Amino acid sequence: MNIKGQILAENVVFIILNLIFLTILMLFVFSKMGGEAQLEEKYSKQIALMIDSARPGTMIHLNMEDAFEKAKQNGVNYEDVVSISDNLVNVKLREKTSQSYSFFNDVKVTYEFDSQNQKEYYFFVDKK
Amino acid sequence: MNKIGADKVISVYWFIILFLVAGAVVYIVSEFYGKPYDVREVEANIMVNQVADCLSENGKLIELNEEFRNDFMKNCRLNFKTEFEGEGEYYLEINFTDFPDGKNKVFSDIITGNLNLKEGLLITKDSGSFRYSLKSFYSLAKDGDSEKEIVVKILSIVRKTEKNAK
Repeated sequence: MNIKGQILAENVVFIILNLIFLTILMLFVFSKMGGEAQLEEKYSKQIALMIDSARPGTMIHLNMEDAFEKAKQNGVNYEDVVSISDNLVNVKLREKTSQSYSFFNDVKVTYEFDSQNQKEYYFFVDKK
Repeated sequence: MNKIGADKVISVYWFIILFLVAGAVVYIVSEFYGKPYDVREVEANIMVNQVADCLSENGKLIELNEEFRNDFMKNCRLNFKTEFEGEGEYYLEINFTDFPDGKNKVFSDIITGNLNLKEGLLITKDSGSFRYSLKSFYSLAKDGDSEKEIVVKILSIVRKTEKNAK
């Protein structure tokens, strides 16, 4: 191979290695950003805090589109994503595990998945 | 050094820089996303607001009789039960003092929750094991036929370390 050909091949390898490196780095960052565990934690705490700050008679709509995407990928039913028992909010986006957070507001919470738009959960906060 | 040799040296330095950048990004991302969201301060603030709403109606303190005190948790819609079996994750203290001095107690305190959290707060105000919120408001309280001015001070402490800190 002549010198010009050698320089070209080295540059191509160099560029490919750089691209692989950057791709791995971006994949790592994105996997950390939108992981199921992150979303489970975020939504369980968000729902618990919303219930804490709600007065009886409040109705809350929560858009959980990003969580539903993950649930679909992992084969979890949309209706099973959120569950509330006693004063514990449980969010499940993976088959085997889930995350929960408790709320101190002593109210009765009923919840429902919006099967029409497939994006939201409704929460009805009422007196016990 | 000829041109090809110089290029190789540059590419070695380039990869060292890339690995340094990668290391920094991995460290920062792991630090940021590896820690749980700490929502305890928000939770403590919400609790203080809820208790303030419960104690005061239109700027006037409700009647703090024995019946109300005995059933305080139910009357103020509070439930300190959590998923953790133990001493308790919350502490709540309400003081009623005269206005404007705030030195003399007008009514006896209302205290509920895990007392160890208050002791922890007295020892160290800035601790990762709990977060707190302390707020006070002015109110009018019934004093026979007249009304007196008082200050209501509410302290709320939330532990929940396992769910909010690493």
